[in-house]
Amino acid sequence: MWLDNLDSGQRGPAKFFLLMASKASGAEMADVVKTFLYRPEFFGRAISQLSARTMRGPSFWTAGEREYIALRTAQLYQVPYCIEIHTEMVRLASAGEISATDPDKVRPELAAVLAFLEKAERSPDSLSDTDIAELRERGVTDDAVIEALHVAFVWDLVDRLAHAFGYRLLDGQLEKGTKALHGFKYQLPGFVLH
Amino acid sequence: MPGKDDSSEARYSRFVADLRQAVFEGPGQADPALRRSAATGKGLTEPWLSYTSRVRDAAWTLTESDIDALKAAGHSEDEIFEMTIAAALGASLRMLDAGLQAVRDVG
Repeated sequence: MWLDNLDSGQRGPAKFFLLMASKASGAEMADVVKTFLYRPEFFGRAISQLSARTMRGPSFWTAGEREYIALRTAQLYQVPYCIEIHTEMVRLASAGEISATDPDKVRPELAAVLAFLEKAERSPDSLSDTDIAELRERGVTDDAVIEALHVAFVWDLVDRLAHAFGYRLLDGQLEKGTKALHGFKYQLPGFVLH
Repeated sequence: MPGKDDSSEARYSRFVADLRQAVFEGPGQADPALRRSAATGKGLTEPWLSYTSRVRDAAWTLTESDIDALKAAGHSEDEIFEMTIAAALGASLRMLDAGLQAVRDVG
C-alpha cells in the first residue's frame, strides 16, 4: 500500500490480530482489513460494524446476492482487487442461487435493484420516486432497496480507498484471506476496534 | 423509513451517523472543517482541491505519485489518510442519501 502507516504503523492490538489471523489462515490479512484496523476510532470501528450488518445481517438479499452487489460495484469502479475478492466471496457465500460468472442466473428482483444501484452510483441526482415505484412493481420492497443501497454504499466507499491507497492482492490472499473474511462474517474482534 | 425503528434504514442509520461523526467531526490531524470540505470540494485549495476531486469522481486515475506529491507538499500520512476517507465518504454518502430520499419521496 502507498501509505506506510497502514502496513507498519498499526497499534499493538491490531498487530497482534494481524499476526494471529495470518497464522490461522496461512495468508497475510487483506489491505482493506488493515485500513479498518488503522486508527479505528476514525474510520474502522464504524465501517466495520456497518459492513458486518449490511453483508451478513438480516436482509431481503442472500449473502451471496450481497456479495454480487459488491462485485458489480467493484466492476463499475474498475477495481481489480475488489473484483477478485468479491468473485471469490460470491462463490463462498452463495448456496447455488447465484454465480459471479453467470449474470443470467440472478433473480429478477436482483436484476432490477442492480440497475437502480448503477443509476444511483453514476448519477445520484437523477434518482426519483419513479425509480422506487418501478422497483415495487418488480417485487422489490422499500426495505430491500434500502438494504441494497447500504451494501452499495459500503463498497462504493471502499472501492475508492482501494484505488487511492493502492490495495494489492498478495500470494495466497485470494483463497485463504477471503475465506477468513467470510469465516468471521466481516466482524472484526472488539479489542482491535477500541 | 424514518421513525420506524424496525425498518432497514433504522437498523443502519446509527452506524452511518457514527461514520459521519468520526470522519467529519472526530479528532484528527486535519481540521474537521477541512475534512467536511473534502466531502464536496467546496472551499478547498490546492493540493487538496484536485486530489479529493479525483477520489470522489475518478478514483481509478490515482497513482502512488499522487500520494508522493501530497507528502512532498508537507502533508503527513495521517492527514492524507483522513482527507482521502473524507472525500470518499462524501461521494458515497451522496449516492446513499439520494437513494434514501427517493424511497422517502415515493411515500
